[in-house]
Parts: sequence; C-alpha cells; structure tokens
Amino acid sequence: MKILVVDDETDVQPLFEQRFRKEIKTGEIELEFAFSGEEAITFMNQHEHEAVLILSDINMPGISGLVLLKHIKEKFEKPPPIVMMITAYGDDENYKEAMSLGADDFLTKPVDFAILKEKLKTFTQ
Amino acid sequence: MKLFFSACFLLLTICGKAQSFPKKYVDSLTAVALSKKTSHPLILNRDSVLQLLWQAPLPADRIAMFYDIVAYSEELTPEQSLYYHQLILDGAQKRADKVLEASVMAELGFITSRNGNTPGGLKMLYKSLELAEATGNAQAIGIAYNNLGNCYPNNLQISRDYMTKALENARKGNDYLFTSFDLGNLARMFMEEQKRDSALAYFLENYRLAVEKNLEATIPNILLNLSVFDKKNSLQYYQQASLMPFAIRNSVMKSRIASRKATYYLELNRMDSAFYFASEVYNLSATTNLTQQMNALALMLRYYRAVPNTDSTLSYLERYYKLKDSLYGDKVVEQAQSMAYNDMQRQKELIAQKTAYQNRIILYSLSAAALFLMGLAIIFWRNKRKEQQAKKIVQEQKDELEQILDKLKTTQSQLIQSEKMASLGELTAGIAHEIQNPLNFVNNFSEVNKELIGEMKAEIEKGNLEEVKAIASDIESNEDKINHHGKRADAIVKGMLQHSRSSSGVKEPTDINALCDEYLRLSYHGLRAKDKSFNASMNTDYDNSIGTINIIPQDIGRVILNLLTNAFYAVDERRRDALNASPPLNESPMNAPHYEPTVSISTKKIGDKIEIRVSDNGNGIPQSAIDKIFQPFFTTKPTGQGTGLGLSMSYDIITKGHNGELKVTTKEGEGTTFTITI
Repeated sequence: MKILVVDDETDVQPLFEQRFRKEIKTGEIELEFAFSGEEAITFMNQHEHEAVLILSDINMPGISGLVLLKHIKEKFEKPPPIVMMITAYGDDENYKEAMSLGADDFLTKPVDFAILKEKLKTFTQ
Repeated sequence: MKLFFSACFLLLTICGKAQSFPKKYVDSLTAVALSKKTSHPLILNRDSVLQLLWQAPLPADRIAMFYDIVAYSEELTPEQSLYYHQLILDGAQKRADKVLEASVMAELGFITSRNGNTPGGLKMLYKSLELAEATGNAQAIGIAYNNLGNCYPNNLQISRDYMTKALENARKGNDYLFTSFDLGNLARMFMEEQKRDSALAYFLENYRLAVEKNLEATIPNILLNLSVFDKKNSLQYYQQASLMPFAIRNSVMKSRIASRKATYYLELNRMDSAFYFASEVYNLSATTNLTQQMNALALMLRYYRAVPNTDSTLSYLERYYKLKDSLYGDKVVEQAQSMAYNDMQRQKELIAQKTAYQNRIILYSLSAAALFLMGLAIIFWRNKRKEQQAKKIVQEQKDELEQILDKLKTTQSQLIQSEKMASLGELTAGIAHEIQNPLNFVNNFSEVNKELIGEMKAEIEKGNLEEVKAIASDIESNEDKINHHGKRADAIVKGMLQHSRSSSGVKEPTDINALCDEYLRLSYHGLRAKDKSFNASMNTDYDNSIGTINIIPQDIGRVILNLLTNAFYAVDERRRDALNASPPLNESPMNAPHYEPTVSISTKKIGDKIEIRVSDNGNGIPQSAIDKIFQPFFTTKPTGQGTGLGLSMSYDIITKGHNGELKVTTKEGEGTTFTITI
C-alpha cells in the first residue's frame, strides 16, 4: 500500500520511515513524501492511482491541507484515495470542516502511531 | 551828527596831553561810543518802543527796552520820566511781569530816595528786591541791589555790601550794563577809601567790559573814573566825557560831568568857572537828583564865601540846609539806617527761611526718598508676592500636569500592554501550533528510540552486531532530532515570553532573517488558529549576506509581527471579498477567478543599511487613510479588533528606537508594501 505523507515539516520523513520501519521492510507499506500541497498535487498528477492513502497536514504555507483535500476528493474520483488529515489544531471546527470536505479520518499532533497503524489496518482491510 | 562827534574827537586828540597814560583807553572808548553798533537815535519814539516792549519774549529784552525809554531822558522832564516809569510799572503789574516790575520799582525807589523821600524810596527798593528774589531772575536782583547800593552814600559798608551783591547778580544774569555800573561804583568806593590799586583794577575791568560789549552808556562814567588816575589831564577826560553821545542825551550824566568840572575848577581856585558848572549841576539836577543838587549848592556856597554876596549866600545856604535836612536829617538817616537794619534782618530771615526751606526741601526730599523706597519696597514685596503666588499657581499647574502626565503614561503603558496582549492573543494559537509540531517529533522519536533500543537488545541477544550498529546509529540520529525539536519548542516559548515582556531596550546582535521567519510563521499560524478558512501564500526572500545586526530584537520582532499581521489581515479581507463576489455553486476554487492571497517578506543589505520589506497583495490602503495610519488609535479594523496602536508603536520603534525609517507604498486594489530601513 502506497501512502503519501504531506507535511511542510521535513522531519516527518525520518519519523514515518522509522515508525513504519517494520512495515516498510516487509513491503507492507510504501511511503512517499510531499512537503507542500503543491508538491502533493504534482505527485498525484504524475502517479495517478498509485497512492491509495494520503496523510496530510492542514496548516501549510501555500495550498493548505484542506484545499488539497477538497482538490483530491473532487479531482480524483474513481476511486478517490483515502485522505486522513493530521493537524496540530485538534479543535472541532477544523475537524468538522475536514470531514465536510470528504476527509476519511482526522488525527491530531502529536501523532499516536499505534492509533494510526490501527486505522490503516481498517482502511486496508 | 556823527561828523560833529568825529570833529570834537579830533579836536580833543589834537589838544593831546591826555595821551600819556590812558590814551589807548580813551581812544578805544571813544571808538566804541562813536561806533555804529551803539549809536542811539537822539530822539526816541518811546511809545513805539513801549509797544515792542510788551511783545519781547525775553525779560532781558524788556528790561533793556525799559532803560531805553527812561534812561535817555534828555528831552524827558522829570515828570515825563516818572510817567513812563509808572506806565511801565503798571503794565508789568497788569501782565504779572514780576522781573520787569522789580526792575522798574528799583529805579523808581532810587529816584524817590534821591529826591528826598529816602524812607519811601528804600521801601520801594526793598519791595523790588523781594519781588526780584521771588522771580529768581539774577538781572532783576542785581538791578535792585545796585539801586540799594546807591542809596546809602554815607554808609560805605552797607553800600559796598549791596554793590557786591549787585555785581554778583549782574554777572550771573549776563547783565553787562549793570556789571559795568557795579564795577564803577565799587571802584569809586575803593577810591573813597584811598585804595587806588583796587579801584584801578575795577576801573580797568570796567573799561575792558565796556569796550568788549559796546556799553556806550557807561563810557562817560569810565572816562570820569579814569580821570582820577591822570589828575593833570582830568579836565580833558571831562571834556571828552561830556562830548560822548550818552552824556549829551542824559541829563544825569551831564550834571555829573558838570559837577566834576566844578570841583576841578574849585580846586584850581577858579571860582567863576566853578560857580558856572555848579549852577549847571544845580539846574540839571533840580528835579532828578536832589543829592547832586545839594552838592552843587555846597559848591556854590563855597563860591559865595570867596565872593561875598550876603543875600545870595543866605538864600543858597537856606536851600542847602533845607535840602540837606531833607536828605540827611537825623530822622532820615535814622530811618534809613533802621531800614537797612530791617533789611539785614530781613536778609537774615530770608537766609533763615532759605535754610529752613532748604531743610524742608531736604526733609521733603528725604521723606520723598523714604516714601519712594517704601513704595519700591512695597512694589518689590508685591511683585515678590505675586511672583510667589504665580510660582505657586505654576507649581500647582505643574503638579496637576505631572499627575495627568503620569496618568497618561500609565494609560499609555497599559495600552501598549494591551496592544502586546492583543498581538500575543493573535500569537497564542500560532504558538500552540508551532509547539505541537516539535512536540510531535520529540514524543515520536523518543518512542521510536525506545522501540529501537528494544530491538537492539534483541539483536544483541542474537549476536547480530551489524544490525545492532545500524539501530544504534538510527537511535543516535533520532536523538539529534529530539534535541533539535526540543530546542525549537524552547525557542518558541522564549520568543513568546520575550514578546510579552517589556523591551529590554538593549541592542544585541540578532539574526534578522531568523527573526523575520519566526514571526512570519507565528503570525500566519496565529491567524490560521483564529480563522480556519484563512490561508495565504508566503514568499520569503532573505539576504544571507546580512549576518547579524544590532537591534532590540523584541521591538523589531514586534514591528515585523505587526506588519505581517496587517498584511495577512489585508489579504484575508480581499479573499473574503473575492469569495462573496464569485459564484459559489459548481465552481471549484481552482477554476474560480483566481486570487492568490500572498504575503511576502524580504531582507536586503543596502550599503550599511538593512531593508526589510513586508508586502501583501490585499486591497491596499485608501488614500484617505494613508496619512493617519501611523497615528495612535487609528484603525480600519472593526471596533474591538484592533487597538490602533500597532503601527504607531512600530513607527516609534523604528524611527526613535533605531533611527530608521518606516515607509509605506500602496496602490488600491493591488496591495501594500511596508519598508523598514535600519
């Protein structure tokens, strides 16, 4: 399963790679990284249907996570990739807006990878 | 007429024995007497002079005209002379001309005294003196004293006393004619005392004065006086004196010359000639000068003694004694003496009065001075009091103002604090976000490390050293990340504290690019936290050659934060405007008329200055507001959303705190750029 991680924090890459070290080893999960909304869209356009799951930060300069979410859900229809929003703002407003835009799930920073792994299991099953 | 005088003069000089001693005197005197300057008309139109007299502005001129009218009395009968005296006296009294009144009264007093009424004459003279002294006019005082001095022929002491005073005053009053008269009189008195040297000195002074000032009227007298010093030729002096125009015009002078001639002939024992001149004197002085007349009678009596003629002798003797009695009778002498005594008393009184007056003046002056000083003291005191009161009022106002100022300062600092708090509020959400991110790494990497250590232990058990090494290096790298993000969180918290703290006011080397970036993120996330729909592109262009610059980081941070917050606010406003204007349905944001809210921050080194630009592509600032944006409390934000202090504080920080410039360029509909130059 290919997962696209979108965050303006570049350190998310080593973090995810280490967190999913075992899954990557077994080939269970393949990780791709984009460090802005624009980069994510470019990747999506180039690798259509490759990423089945997108983990995106909301607060990013430029195209924000919510705009990206809306774009992905509108642009990439059959089948639309699963989009999980991860944000530092764990408030209701952000949650509701993300959900209304078609987000499949909502996580708050700091990310609990145990929970994330659980959720990934449910999506891939 | 002049020809006649010249002829006489020639005749005289030819006769010439007079040349030995006083020739030069006689010559110059004659020249003066005959000069055009002093030539008087023989017949004077007294009434026209009288008219002119009353128009003359100066007392000296009026006195001179008075003497012109009465002195050249050749054709004046004694009655006429008295008439003019009286006329002028009345006129002077009517016009309150005290100076002229005193002078005329002195002359009248003299005439009265000389004509038998000595007490009446002296009364008038003392009255005249009193009047003259009241006016303070030295000329009039001199005239009064001169006439008084002439009224005590038998009392040399009194006469000289008065005459000396007369001379003093005549000199003081620049009255040359009377100076001359007084000098002559005093000289005559010295002669009587046989003090010939003193007398000559006075005569010569008189002579010089007469020549210098053209005093024609005194010249016959001077000639008579000088004759005393040249006895051999004295008759020639008399002759010349009698030829002088004044002597021809003036009967008093005429009789005086005749009297000298009579004495001269008597001494030569030429009784006929003596009698001739004595009878001339007698006739000339019949009504003008009884003393002269008495002297003439004395001469005539001596003649009759030599040429016995009983009837005539008896007749003249009778007249002589009658005159003598009236002039110098015991009673008259006594009266005159007592009047002189009275006058002396009066003088003493006057002096006493004068002293008293002076004392009074001194007293008054001192009192006035004391009053003045007291007044001054009061004024000073009052001024001082007023000053003190003014000072007190000023002090009170100052105190009040200081209180108000203190209040204002407190209010200002409170406002600044609230502005800080407002911006801090804007920051809090941003800070939360900014802290969550590093915390995310700290937590997760430490958890990962925990896992990795577990794995590493397992691999050690297995003895798989290669794997152990790999895990160890991962752990190490993760520790670095933990450390890095921990520091990052620390920096954010410190920055937040710094922002809320009051400025240290101390400039320190600061990485301006890092500062700008930090506040860019803080402000962006701050706004994002408040408004979830908010989004904006951020362009940064940092000049890495800047390094560190010396600034007060909290203050500059506050300025940058403020400018960025405003910029984000501006682009967000425009975004909302665009959203409201665009069709909301079936239009993807990507296809909508594209507005990309963008805030840019850049740094640039220009010479020894640093330029920081904060730009937005918002709506721009309307021209109506551009002049006011740096004013305190000016805000375009809805009430409650802005303090209106942000830009004014920023302006102060840049211009006052860092001697820099804060400029704004804006175009409506295109955006705004703030440029800091420090």
